[in-house]
This record gives sequence, structure tokens and C-alpha cells, in this order.
Amino acid sequence: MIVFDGTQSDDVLHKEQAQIEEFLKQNAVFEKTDVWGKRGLGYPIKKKRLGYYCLFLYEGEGDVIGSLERQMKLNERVLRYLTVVRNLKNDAARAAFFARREKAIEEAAAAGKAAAAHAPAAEAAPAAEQTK
Amino acid sequence: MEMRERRFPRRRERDRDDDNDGGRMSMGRKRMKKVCWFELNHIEPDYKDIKIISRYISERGKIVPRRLSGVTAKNQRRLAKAIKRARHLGLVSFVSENIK
Repeated sequence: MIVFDGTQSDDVLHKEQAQIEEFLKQNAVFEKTDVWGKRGLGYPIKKKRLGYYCLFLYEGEGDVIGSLERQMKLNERVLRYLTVVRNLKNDAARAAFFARREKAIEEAAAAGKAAAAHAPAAEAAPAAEQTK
Repeated sequence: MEMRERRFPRRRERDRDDDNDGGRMSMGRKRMKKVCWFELNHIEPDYKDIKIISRYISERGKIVPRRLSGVTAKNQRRLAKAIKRARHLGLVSFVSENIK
């Protein structure tokens, strides 16, 4: 994951992102980029309060990481970077968990809507009685 | 600052034995055992799940001990690593904003 300086313009950030993607395509098996976009930082880094978060998924040898991190160190637009080994099993479990939770939320919302559709009719009757 | 209800009660609040029955409930049953949320949902703590790991960070920004949260030892180790990674990336803060 790379955190770019969020105060930069979108064009500049997209260019930086594309540059990394290009490097990974040439030197490793590039899968995809998960763009989180701009979000507030938990604490100021280099006096910046906004970060542009990108998660690059790729498969490569150790030397690719070395040269990539050297680039990151020299690039002033990069606030933070982190390279971790993927836990594919957990990634799949997490994806399934979030899909399950989203589905449950949707079902709850649909049930709430259905209850609300019945409720005004039920509430309207006592109100009418009171006015009498 | 208005006092908020603690997610994980302090030990002395949790273990307060008002009825002096040796930590047993008045019905004679033992206190319910805490369950690890990660075990329950079959996932491991990950630095990308900020909402989930934020539950295990105190108001001061500290990692909540497992005696309060009920997380298993293995998952507590993973959780600590995930929180530290998230802190490094600026996803969560080291210290809470109102304490700085």
C-alpha cells in the first residue's frame, strides 16, 4: 500500500499511480490496484493532513520490492508505503464476511422499509380517532 | 468532557462483587465467558479493516488488552500487528486527538 500526498491534484496523483503500475507490469506479475482515494490521515505526516491511498496487488521476487521501495523513498509525494505478504486465505474469508454482512444490512433495510410502509396506515387510525 | 460508557469495562467495575457471592451471578450461574469476535466470524485481524480494528483501540489510542476484549491470544498478536501497520500508514492515530 502506498499513501501519496493528498493535497496534490488528481492528475498528478493518477500519474504517480500509473507510474507505479507500469513499473510493476514490467518487473512483476501485476494483478490490480485497489484505489481507496483521498482520506484524512490519523495524524499529520510531513505537515499534510490528507492522503491518497492505493493498494497495489502483485506477485514478484524480493528484488522488485527493494527497487520499488527505493523509488518510494526518493519520491517526495509519497508519505508512507508498506509492503506485506498477502494472506490469500484470510482475504477470501474477509471478502465472504463483508459480502455476508452487506447482504444482511440490505435485508434489514428492506424489512425496515416494508414495516414502514405498513406503519403509517396503522398510525393513521388512532390519529383519526383522536381528532374525533 | 462528557463521560461515555466504556466498551470494555474496567476490571474493578467488571469484577465488582456487590452481592459478595464470589463472582457468581445471583441465579447461581457463572459469569458468561467473552467470545473472540474474530473466531466467531472466522476472519483474522487485518490492517485494512479500520472499522473493525478501531474497536480494539481505547480512547487514548492504546491497544485494548485481551483480558477486556476477550480476543484469543493468537488473534491478539495478529491484531497488535494490524494496529501497528495501520498506525504507520496513518489510517489510525497513535494518540487520540483530544489528548494531544
